Amino acid sequence: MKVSFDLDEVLFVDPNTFETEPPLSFPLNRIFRERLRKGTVYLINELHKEGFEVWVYTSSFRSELYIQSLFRNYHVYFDQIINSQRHLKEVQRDRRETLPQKMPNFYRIGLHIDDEDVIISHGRTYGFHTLKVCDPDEHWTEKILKEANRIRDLEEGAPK
Amino acid sequence: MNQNHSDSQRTEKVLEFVESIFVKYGAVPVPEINEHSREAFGLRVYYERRDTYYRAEASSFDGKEVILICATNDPDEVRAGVDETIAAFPVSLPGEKMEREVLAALEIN
Repeated sequence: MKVSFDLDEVLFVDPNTFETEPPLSFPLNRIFRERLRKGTVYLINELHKEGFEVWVYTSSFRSELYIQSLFRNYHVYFDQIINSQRHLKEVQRDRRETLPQKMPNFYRIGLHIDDEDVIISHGRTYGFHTLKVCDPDEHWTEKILKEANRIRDLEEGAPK
Repeated sequence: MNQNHSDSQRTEKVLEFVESIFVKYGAVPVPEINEHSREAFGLRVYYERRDTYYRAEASSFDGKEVILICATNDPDEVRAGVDETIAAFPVSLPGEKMEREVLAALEIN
C-alpha cells in the first residue's frame, strides 16, 4: 500500500513552532533550508520496514531532484515524488475541468497525509483516505502508522 | 606566489577532480548543450548520466569555499543554464570523502 505526504506544514515545519530533526551541517544547510518535523526520519523508515511504499505528493514546484537530495542527507528515500509539475502533466493533463491540486486516488495511494482542510475534504468527495497533520503533536508518527495499518487491513479484508 | 592565484588553482583542480568522478561513473560530457550559457555566464560543462545533467561549481558561504553539484533532468533547462544545487561540500574535503559525496549526488550507493 502507498502512503503519501504533503511537504509544507507536514514534513517541512517552522523550527520556531515545532521540534525538528537536527539541521544539516554546513554547507548543506545553506542549500537545503527546510527543517524536518521531528520524527520524520523514523516515520518514513518505519513505514518502509512495515512494507509500505512511501511517496511525496506536494503542490509545490520544488523539483524531484531537490526533494530527493534534501531527504537523502537524512538517509530518507521516497518511492515516488509527485510535485506540481508532475501532477499537471500526469493528472490534470489537458482536461477542461480543473481538478483538485492533489488526487491521490489517481496514483492508487492508500493514505495521504496533509495539513490542508480542503485536501481532507476532497478525500471525502473524491474517495481517498486522508489524515490531517498540522499542529505540533508528539504522537503524530504513531497516529500515522496506526492509520496506515488500519487502512491496509481494510484493503486486504483482514478481520477487524 | 599570489595567495588568490594559488587558491583559484587549487579550486580548479578540485573541480576537475569532481568532473573526473562524473566520468569515472559513466557520465558523459555534453559541452555543446550549454555552449551559450558557458560563454555568457562562465558555467562549466554538464555531464549527462541516466538522463540527468550534472555540473560542478565553486562558490563560497561566509568566506568558506565550497563545491556545489548542480543538476537538472530537463535538457531545455540545461540549455538555458538553469539547474538546482543538489549537493555541497567544503573544497578542503579529503579526496575519498569527496568521492563519496559525488557518488551520493549521482545516486550511486
